[in-house]
Amino acid sequence: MKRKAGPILVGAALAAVALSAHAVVKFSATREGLFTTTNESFTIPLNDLGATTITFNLPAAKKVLLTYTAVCAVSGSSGTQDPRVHLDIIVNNSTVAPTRGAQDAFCSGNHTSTADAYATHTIATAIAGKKGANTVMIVGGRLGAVGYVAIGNSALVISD
Amino acid sequence: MQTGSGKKAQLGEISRQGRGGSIGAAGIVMVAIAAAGCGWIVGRLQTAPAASVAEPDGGTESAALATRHIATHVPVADVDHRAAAAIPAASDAGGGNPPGGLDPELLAASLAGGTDAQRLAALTTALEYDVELPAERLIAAYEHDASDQVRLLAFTTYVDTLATQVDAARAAMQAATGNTSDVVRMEAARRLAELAAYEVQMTLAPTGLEIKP
Repeated sequence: MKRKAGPILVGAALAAVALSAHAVVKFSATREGLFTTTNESFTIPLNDLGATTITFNLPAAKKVLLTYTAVCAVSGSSGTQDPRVHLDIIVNNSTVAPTRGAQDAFCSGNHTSTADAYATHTIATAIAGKKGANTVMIVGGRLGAVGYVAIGNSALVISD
Repeated sequence: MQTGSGKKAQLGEISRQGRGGSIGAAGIVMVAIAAAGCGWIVGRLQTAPAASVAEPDGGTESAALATRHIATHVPVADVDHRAAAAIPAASDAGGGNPPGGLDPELLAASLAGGTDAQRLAALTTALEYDVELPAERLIAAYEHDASDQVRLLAFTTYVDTLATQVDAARAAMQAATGNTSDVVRMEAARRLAELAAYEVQMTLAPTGLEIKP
Protein backbone atom coordinates (compact mmCIF):
# COMPACT_ATOMS: atom_id res chain seq x y z
CA MET A 1 0.00 0.00 0.00
CA LYS A 2 2.77 2.42 0.88
CA ARG A 3 4.36 1.92 -2.51
CA LYS A 4 1.20 3.13 -4.20
CA ALA A 5 0.98 6.24 -2.07
CA GLY A 6 4.16 7.72 -3.54
CA PRO A 7 2.96 8.18 -7.12
CA ILE A 8 -0.40 9.37 -5.86
CA LEU A 9 1.21 12.02 -3.70
CA VAL A 10 3.54 13.07 -6.49
CA GLY A 11 0.58 13.28 -8.84
CA ALA A 12 -1.34 15.37 -6.37
CA ALA A 13 1.64 17.63 -5.90
CA LEU A 14 2.07 18.08 -9.62
CA ALA A 15 -1.63 18.78 -9.98
CA ALA A 16 -1.33 21.42 -7.29
CA VAL A 17 1.62 22.97 -9.07
CA ALA A 18 -0.28 22.93 -12.34
CA LEU A 19 -3.27 24.57 -10.72
CA SER A 20 -1.19 27.26 -9.04
CA ALA A 21 1.06 28.05 -12.01
CA HIS A 22 0.00 31.15 -13.86
CA ALA A 23 1.64 33.75 -16.00
CA VAL A 24 1.77 37.30 -14.76
CA VAL A 25 2.21 39.99 -17.34
CA LYS A 26 5.00 42.28 -16.19
CA PHE A 27 4.95 44.59 -19.16
CA SER A 28 3.34 44.97 -22.54
CA ALA A 29 3.66 47.35 -25.44
CA THR A 30 1.56 47.39 -28.55
CA ARG A 31 1.82 49.23 -31.81
CA GLU A 32 -0.61 49.64 -34.67
CA GLY A 33 0.13 50.55 -38.25
CA LEU A 34 2.37 49.43 -41.05
CA PHE A 35 6.04 50.27 -40.60
CA THR A 36 8.03 49.80 -43.81
CA THR A 37 11.68 50.15 -44.59
CA THR A 38 14.18 49.38 -47.31
CA ASN A 39 17.16 49.54 -44.95
CA GLU A 40 19.32 46.45 -44.55
CA SER A 41 19.25 46.91 -40.79
CA PHE A 42 16.61 48.76 -38.83
CA THR A 43 15.32 49.19 -35.30
CA ILE A 44 11.67 48.34 -34.92
CA PRO A 45 9.27 50.75 -33.23
CA LEU A 46 7.62 48.97 -30.33
CA ASN A 47 4.81 51.27 -29.32
CA ASP A 48 2.58 53.94 -30.83
CA LEU A 49 5.03 56.64 -29.78
CA GLY A 50 7.67 55.10 -32.03
CA ALA A 51 9.89 54.09 -29.11
CA THR A 52 12.55 51.65 -30.23
CA THR A 53 13.77 50.89 -26.72
CA ILE A 54 11.37 49.70 -24.06
CA THR A 55 12.07 49.49 -20.36
CA PHE A 56 10.53 47.08 -17.87
CA ASN A 57 11.34 46.68 -14.19
CA LEU A 58 11.78 43.59 -12.05
CA PRO A 59 11.89 43.32 -8.24
CA ALA A 60 14.60 40.66 -8.45
CA ALA A 61 16.78 38.98 -11.03
CA LYS A 62 14.81 36.20 -12.65
CA LYS A 63 14.00 34.52 -15.92
CA VAL A 64 10.96 35.92 -17.64
CA LEU A 65 9.21 35.10 -20.86
CA LEU A 66 9.54 37.58 -23.70
CA THR A 67 7.05 37.29 -26.53
CA TYR A 68 7.12 39.44 -29.62
CA THR A 69 4.29 39.10 -32.08
CA ALA A 70 3.95 41.10 -35.28
CA VAL A 71 2.45 41.09 -38.71
CA CYS A 72 5.34 40.74 -41.14
CA ALA A 73 5.90 40.58 -44.88
CA VAL A 74 8.77 41.20 -47.29
CA SER A 75 8.98 41.81 -51.01
CA GLY A 76 11.67 40.74 -53.45
CA SER A 77 11.38 39.08 -56.81
CA SER A 78 14.99 38.48 -57.82
CA GLY A 79 17.87 36.50 -56.43
CA THR A 80 18.31 32.89 -55.51
CA GLN A 81 17.70 33.26 -51.81
CA ASP A 82 14.25 33.62 -50.40
CA PRO A 83 13.75 37.23 -49.36
CA ARG A 84 13.38 37.25 -45.62
CA VAL A 85 13.74 39.30 -42.50
CA HIS A 86 15.35 38.21 -39.27
CA LEU A 87 15.15 39.87 -35.90
CA ASP A 88 17.68 40.30 -33.12
CA ILE A 89 16.06 40.80 -29.75
CA ILE A 90 18.47 42.77 -27.59
CA VAL A 91 17.90 42.70 -23.85
CA ASN A 92 20.16 44.81 -21.68
CA ASN A 93 22.49 45.31 -24.64
CA SER A 94 22.90 41.58 -25.33
CA THR A 95 21.23 39.71 -28.15
CA VAL A 96 19.28 36.82 -26.73
CA ALA A 97 19.08 33.27 -28.06
CA PRO A 98 17.70 32.09 -30.41
CA THR A 99 17.65 35.42 -32.21
CA ARG A 100 21.41 35.81 -32.60
CA GLY A 101 22.70 35.88 -36.14
CA ALA A 102 20.69 35.65 -39.32
CA GLN A 103 19.52 32.04 -39.28
CA ASP A 104 16.24 32.89 -37.64
CA ALA A 105 13.92 34.15 -40.33
CA PHE A 106 10.93 35.89 -38.80
CA CYS A 107 9.06 35.99 -42.10
CA SER A 108 9.87 35.48 -45.75
CA GLY A 109 8.53 36.47 -49.13
CA ASN A 110 7.52 34.47 -52.16
CA HIS A 111 9.68 36.14 -54.80
CA THR A 112 7.12 38.72 -55.82
CA SER A 113 7.73 42.44 -56.13
CA THR A 114 5.15 43.29 -53.51
CA ALA A 115 4.91 42.11 -49.95
CA ASP A 116 1.87 39.95 -50.25
CA ALA A 117 2.37 37.19 -47.75
CA TYR A 118 1.27 39.03 -44.66
CA ALA A 119 0.93 36.88 -41.60
CA THR A 120 1.30 37.23 -37.88
CA HIS A 121 4.47 35.68 -36.50
CA THR A 122 5.73 35.20 -32.95
CA ILE A 123 9.03 34.75 -31.17
CA ALA A 124 8.91 33.55 -27.57
CA THR A 125 12.04 33.08 -25.53
CA ALA A 126 13.11 33.02 -21.91
CA ILE A 127 15.37 35.89 -20.98
CA ALA A 128 17.43 36.58 -17.90
CA GLY A 129 16.07 39.74 -16.36
CA LYS A 130 17.99 41.68 -13.77
CA LYS A 131 16.69 43.49 -10.73
CA GLY A 132 15.58 46.98 -11.60
CA ALA A 133 15.33 48.45 -15.07
CA ASN A 134 15.74 46.19 -18.09
CA THR A 135 15.76 47.36 -21.69
CA VAL A 136 14.50 45.67 -24.82
CA MET A 137 15.27 46.65 -28.38
CA ILE A 138 14.54 44.70 -31.55
CA VAL A 139 16.75 45.11 -34.58
CA GLY A 140 15.62 43.73 -37.90
CA GLY A 141 17.77 42.72 -40.84
CA ARG A 142 16.81 41.79 -44.35
CA LEU A 143 18.39 39.01 -46.35
CA GLY A 144 18.11 37.95 -49.96
CA ALA A 145 16.94 40.31 -52.64
CA VAL A 146 14.46 42.07 -50.45
CA GLY A 147 12.72 45.13 -51.82
CA TYR A 148 11.18 46.27 -48.60
CA VAL A 149 10.16 44.97 -45.22
CA ALA A 150 6.74 45.63 -43.73
CA ILE A 151 6.08 45.20 -40.02
CA GLY A 152 2.45 45.67 -39.04
CA ASN A 153 0.59 45.60 -35.75
CA SER A 154 2.72 44.19 -32.98
CA ALA A 155 2.79 43.28 -29.30
CA LEU A 156 5.76 42.89 -27.00
CA VAL A 157 4.86 41.10 -23.78
CA ILE A 158 7.06 40.30 -20.80
CA SER A 159 5.52 37.77 -18.46
CA ASP A 160 6.63 36.16 -15.26
CA MET B 1 16.68 73.88 -11.85
CA GLN B 2 14.78 74.80 -8.78
CA THR B 3 16.15 74.36 -5.34
CA GLY B 4 14.80 71.66 -3.13
CA SER B 5 13.61 73.19 0.11
CA GLY B 6 10.53 75.02 -1.13
CA LYS B 7 9.46 72.15 -3.27
CA LYS B 8 9.86 69.64 -0.48
CA ALA B 9 7.59 71.67 1.70
CA GLN B 10 5.05 71.82 -1.06
CA LEU B 11 5.25 68.10 -1.73
CA GLY B 12 5.10 67.37 1.97
CA GLU B 13 1.83 69.25 2.11
CA ILE B 14 0.54 67.25 -0.83
CA SER B 15 1.63 64.10 0.94
CA ARG B 16 -0.41 64.89 3.99
CA GLN B 17 -3.40 65.89 1.94
CA GLY B 18 -3.08 62.62 0.08
CA ARG B 19 -3.65 60.79 3.32
CA GLY B 20 -6.76 62.79 4.04
CA GLY B 21 -5.03 65.33 6.25
CA SER B 22 -5.36 62.94 9.15
CA ILE B 23 -1.88 63.41 10.49
CA GLY B 24 -1.61 66.32 12.88
CA ALA B 25 1.53 68.34 13.40
CA ALA B 26 2.06 66.83 16.84
CA GLY B 27 0.65 63.44 16.03
CA ILE B 28 2.32 60.08 15.95
CA VAL B 29 2.17 57.65 13.09
CA MET B 30 2.80 53.97 13.02
CA VAL B 31 4.60 52.10 10.31
CA ALA B 32 3.74 48.44 10.48
CA ILE B 33 5.63 45.80 8.63
CA ALA B 34 4.16 42.35 8.71
CA ALA B 35 5.37 39.16 7.14
CA ALA B 36 2.42 37.17 5.98
CA GLY B 37 2.74 33.79 4.35
CA CYS B 38 5.26 33.88 1.54
CA GLY B 39 4.85 37.61 1.03
CA TRP B 40 5.12 40.71 3.11
CA ILE B 41 3.08 43.74 3.78
CA VAL B 42 3.95 47.36 4.22
CA GLY B 43 1.09 48.61 6.28
CA ARG B 44 -0.72 51.86 5.85
CA LEU B 45 0.35 54.86 7.84
CA GLN B 46 -2.06 55.31 10.68
CA THR B 47 -2.48 57.91 13.35
CA ALA B 48 -2.02 56.77 16.91
CA PRO B 49 -2.62 58.55 20.20
CA ALA B 50 0.47 59.76 21.98
CA ALA B 51 -0.45 57.67 25.02
CA SER B 52 0.00 54.49 23.03
CA VAL B 53 3.53 55.26 21.98
CA ALA B 54 5.93 52.45 22.71
CA GLU B 55 9.66 52.34 22.42
CA PRO B 56 11.04 50.91 19.22
CA ASP B 57 12.14 47.38 19.86
CA GLY B 58 15.56 48.10 18.47
CA GLY B 59 15.70 44.92 16.40
CA THR B 60 17.01 44.73 12.89
CA GLU B 61 14.61 44.89 9.97
CA SER B 62 15.21 41.25 9.18
CA ALA B 63 14.48 40.35 12.76
CA ALA B 64 11.33 42.42 12.61
CA LEU B 65 10.18 40.49 9.57
CA ALA B 66 11.00 37.21 11.26
CA THR B 67 8.80 38.05 14.22
CA ARG B 68 5.93 38.44 11.76
CA HIS B 69 4.56 41.68 13.20
CA ILE B 70 6.45 44.64 14.53
CA ALA B 71 5.12 48.13 15.04
CA THR B 72 7.55 51.03 15.15
CA HIS B 73 6.43 54.45 16.27
CA VAL B 74 8.09 57.51 14.83
CA PRO B 75 7.43 61.23 15.06
CA VAL B 76 5.50 62.83 12.21
CA ALA B 77 8.51 64.73 10.97
CA ASP B 78 10.25 61.43 10.28
CA VAL B 79 7.32 59.66 8.67
CA ASP B 80 8.23 60.17 5.06
CA HIS B 81 11.86 59.35 5.75
CA ARG B 82 11.06 56.16 7.63
CA ALA B 83 8.42 55.07 5.17
CA ALA B 84 10.68 55.60 2.21
CA ALA B 85 13.49 53.81 3.99
CA ALA B 86 11.28 50.86 4.86
CA ILE B 87 10.21 50.19 1.31
CA PRO B 88 13.50 49.13 -0.27
CA ALA B 89 14.42 47.16 2.84
CA ALA B 90 11.15 45.31 2.69
CA SER B 91 11.61 44.76 -1.03
CA ASP B 92 14.96 43.12 -0.42
CA ALA B 93 13.45 40.96 2.27
CA GLY B 94 10.74 39.92 -0.14
CA GLY B 95 13.26 38.50 -2.58
CA GLY B 96 11.01 39.35 -5.49
CA ASN B 97 7.86 37.83 -4.07
CA PRO B 98 4.62 39.48 -5.11
CA PRO B 99 3.92 42.40 -2.79
CA GLY B 100 0.34 41.57 -1.97
CA GLY B 101 0.06 44.29 0.64
CA LEU B 102 2.22 46.99 -0.89
CA ASP B 103 0.33 50.19 -0.34
CA PRO B 104 0.15 52.60 -3.31
CA GLU B 105 -0.70 55.49 -1.01
CA LEU B 106 2.35 54.80 1.11
CA LEU B 107 4.57 54.63 -1.93
CA ALA B 108 3.04 57.79 -3.34
CA ALA B 109 3.57 59.54 -0.02
CA SER B 110 7.16 58.32 0.09
CA LEU B 111 7.73 59.81 -3.34
CA ALA B 112 6.94 63.18 -1.85
CA GLY B 113 9.30 63.04 1.13
CA GLY B 114 12.67 61.89 2.33
CA THR B 115 16.06 62.13 0.75
CA ASP B 116 16.73 62.02 -2.95
CA ALA B 117 17.72 58.36 -2.63
CA GLN B 118 14.59 57.50 -0.66
CA ARG B 119 12.25 59.18 -3.13
CA LEU B 120 14.03 57.45 -5.98
CA ALA B 121 13.73 54.15 -4.10
CA ALA B 122 10.01 54.68 -3.62
CA LEU B 123 9.50 55.29 -7.33
CA THR B 124 11.74 52.39 -8.31
CA THR B 125 9.91 50.07 -5.93
CA ALA B 126 6.58 51.08 -7.39
CA LEU B 127 7.86 50.27 -10.85
CA GLU B 128 9.41 46.97 -9.84
CA TYR B 129 6.27 45.77 -8.10
CA ASP B 130 3.82 47.16 -10.65
CA VAL B 131 2.25 49.54 -8.19
CA GLU B 132 0.32 52.13 -10.12
CA LEU B 133 1.05 55.60 -8.83
CA PRO B 134 -1.45 58.41 -9.33
CA ALA B 135 -0.76 60.42 -12.47
CA GLU B 136 -0.82 63.67 -10.53
CA ARG B 137 1.90 62.34 -8.24
CA LEU B 138 4.13 61.47 -11.18
CA ILE B 139 3.48 64.86 -12.77
CA ALA B 140 4.28 66.63 -9.50
CA ALA B 141 7.48 64.62 -9.23
CA TYR B 142 8.80 65.42 -12.68
CA GLU B 143 7.76 69.03 -12.47
CA HIS B 144 8.97 69.85 -8.98
CA ASP B 145 11.24 67.19 -7.45
CA ALA B 146 14.67 68.36 -6.31
CA SER B 147 16.40 65.34 -7.84
CA ASP B 148 17.02 65.12 -11.56
CA GLN B 149 17.01 61.32 -11.29
CA VAL B 150 13.57 61.29 -9.71
CA ARG B 151 12.29 63.79 -12.22
CA LEU B 152 13.57 61.84 -15.19
CA LEU B 153 12.20 58.51 -13.96
CA ALA B 154 8.85 60.05 -13.09
CA PHE B 155 8.66 61.69 -16.51
CA THR B 156 9.52 58.58 -18.49
CA THR B 157 7.16 56.52 -16.34
CA TYR B 158 4.32 58.95 -16.91
CA VAL B 159 4.86 59.18 -20.65
CA ASP B 160 5.11 55.40 -20.91
CA THR B 161 1.68 55.10 -19.33
CA LEU B 162 0.40 57.19 -22.23
CA ALA B 163 1.96 54.99 -24.92
CA THR B 164 -1.41 54.22 -26.45
CA GLN B 165 -2.64 57.82 -26.17
CA VAL B 166 -0.41 59.58 -28.64
CA ASP B 167 -1.99 63.03 -28.38
CA ALA B 168 -1.85 63.05 -24.59
CA ALA B 169 1.73 61.78 -24.64
CA ARG B 170 2.72 64.42 -27.17
CA ALA B 171 1.15 67.16 -25.04
CA ALA B 172 2.99 65.94 -21.95
CA MET B 173 6.29 65.81 -23.81
CA GLN B 174 5.77 69.25 -25.32
CA ALA B 175 4.98 70.68 -21.90
CA ALA B 176 8.09 69.01 -20.50
CA THR B 177 10.32 70.83 -22.98
CA GLY B 178 9.80 73.78 -20.64
CA ASN B 179 10.75 71.79 -17.53
CA THR B 180 13.31 73.40 -15.25
CA SER B 181 15.41 70.23 -15.28
CA ASP B 182 17.88 69.88 -18.12
CA VAL B 183 17.59 66.09 -18.18
CA VAL B 184 13.80 66.16 -18.42
CA ARG B 185 13.93 68.77 -21.17
CA MET B 186 16.46 66.71 -23.10
CA GLU B 187 14.48 63.49 -22.71
CA ALA B 188 11.27 65.23 -23.74
CA ALA B 189 12.98 66.63 -26.83
CA ARG B 190 14.48 63.24 -27.66
CA ARG B 191 11.12 61.52 -27.39
CA LEU B 192 9.36 64.19 -29.42
CA ALA B 193 11.97 63.80 -32.16
CA GLU B 194 11.55 60.01 -32.02
CA LEU B 195 7.79 60.37 -32.35
CA ALA B 196 8.11 62.83 -35.24
CA ALA B 197 10.50 60.53 -37.09
CA TYR B 198 8.19 57.58 -36.49
CA GLU B 199 5.20 59.48 -37.81
CA VAL B 200 7.12 60.45 -40.93
CA GLN B 201 8.24 56.86 -41.38
CA MET B 202 4.66 55.64 -41.09
CA THR B 203 3.61 57.93 -43.93
CA LEU B 204 6.22 56.36 -46.21
CA ALA B 205 4.46 53.00 -46.45
CA PRO B 206 3.79 52.34 -50.13
CA THR B 207 0.16 52.54 -51.04
CA GLY B 208 -1.68 49.36 -51.81
CA LEU B 209 0.01 47.46 -49.03
CA GLU B 210 -3.22 46.49 -47.40
CA ILE B 211 -3.29 42.97 -46.21
CA LYS B 212 -4.90 40.85 -48.86
CA PRO B 213 -8.07 39.05 -47.86
